[in-house]
Amino acid sequence: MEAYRDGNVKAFDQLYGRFKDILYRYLTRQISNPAIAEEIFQDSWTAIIKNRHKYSVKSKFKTYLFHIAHNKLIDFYRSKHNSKLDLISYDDNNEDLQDNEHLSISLDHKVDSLNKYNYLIELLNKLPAAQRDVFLMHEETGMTLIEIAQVMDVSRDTVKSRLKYALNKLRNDMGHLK
Amino acid sequence: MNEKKQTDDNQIEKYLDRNSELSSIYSKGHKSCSPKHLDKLIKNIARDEATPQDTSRNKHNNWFIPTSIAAMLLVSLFLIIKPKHNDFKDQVAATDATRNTQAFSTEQQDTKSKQNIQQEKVTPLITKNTPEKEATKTKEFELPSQLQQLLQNTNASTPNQLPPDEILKTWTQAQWEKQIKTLQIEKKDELSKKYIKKFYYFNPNKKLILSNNIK
Repeated sequence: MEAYRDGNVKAFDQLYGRFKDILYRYLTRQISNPAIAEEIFQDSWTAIIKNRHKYSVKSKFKTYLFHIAHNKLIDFYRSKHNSKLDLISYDDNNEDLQDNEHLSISLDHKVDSLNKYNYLIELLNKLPAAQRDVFLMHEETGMTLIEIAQVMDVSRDTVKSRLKYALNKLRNDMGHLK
Repeated sequence: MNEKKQTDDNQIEKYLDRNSELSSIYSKGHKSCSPKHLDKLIKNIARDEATPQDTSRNKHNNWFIPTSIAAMLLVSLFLIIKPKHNDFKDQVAATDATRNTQAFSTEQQDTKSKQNIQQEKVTPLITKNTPEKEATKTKEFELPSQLQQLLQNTNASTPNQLPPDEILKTWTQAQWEKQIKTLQIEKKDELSKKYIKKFYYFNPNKKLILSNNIK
């Protein structure tokens, strides 16, 4: 990023090649509408480009990129016309769903790996956005709890709590396939 | 309760180490990639932003605005100073005009034509500044006596005015002849006639010797 800031365009191409797919997947899994996901994807990278002179090496570039993308995602939730439910579900810290409650997806799945994956994605879509966010961020980027907390501007414990509830719900419902 | 918490923590640790079934299911799934048109678009934006053309345009803007401001200030300063300089010139001219008027008015032998000539020479300067203004200006701006004398001598060589009588009295015949010849060469006949009249006024017994015999 520093090389690009100093005018090296090839450095940006390398950086983009490294992170474009994980960011794209994170956004498309978070938002069901691919057009909006692409728009946020483009906006995030454009913000990185425009603000390259403000970039300083305080944390990993991955954290910086996902912090910008995450903020844009939150903006989207807040600006969405009928976003009240989405926003509540994003900020909701799993009080609505108890650990032993299932995500009520009644599909006749065959137990093969592809169907397990599709089922997992469907379960993910049923999770509150905040929990889904933590799960996806870790799966796609391999970030630690502290790094995810930095991206989301929340405490490590909050991230851990969200992840715990997400994992419990997913495990419980995935257990039905066996 | 503690046992459940301990189990949860262990599960989270296991998950974070990518050692869980959920992670393996998720990682085996379809890995979508960003669309090529977006890749191209974003790379183009990055290239455009980093090209030297943009920086040169910024540099151009950097020097262009301050230079424009400096130029405007210079022009404004010049316009402020210029009228003050002209005021000074007007003051000097007005002082001379007053002196000449007084000198000519004391001469009783001057004819009507002489008075007309005098008006022609003086009026433009007087009309510029009313007597009240002249008075205030001369009060505001008094030249030292030596400088006034110098200005009078300088005005003697100017084509449209005669020096005061005190100076003309001291002139030698050669000076008279030289001055009149110069005026004749410059074809300022009326003024040269005035000089001739003045010469005979101060030197009634002498005779001017001019090449073209104008008397």
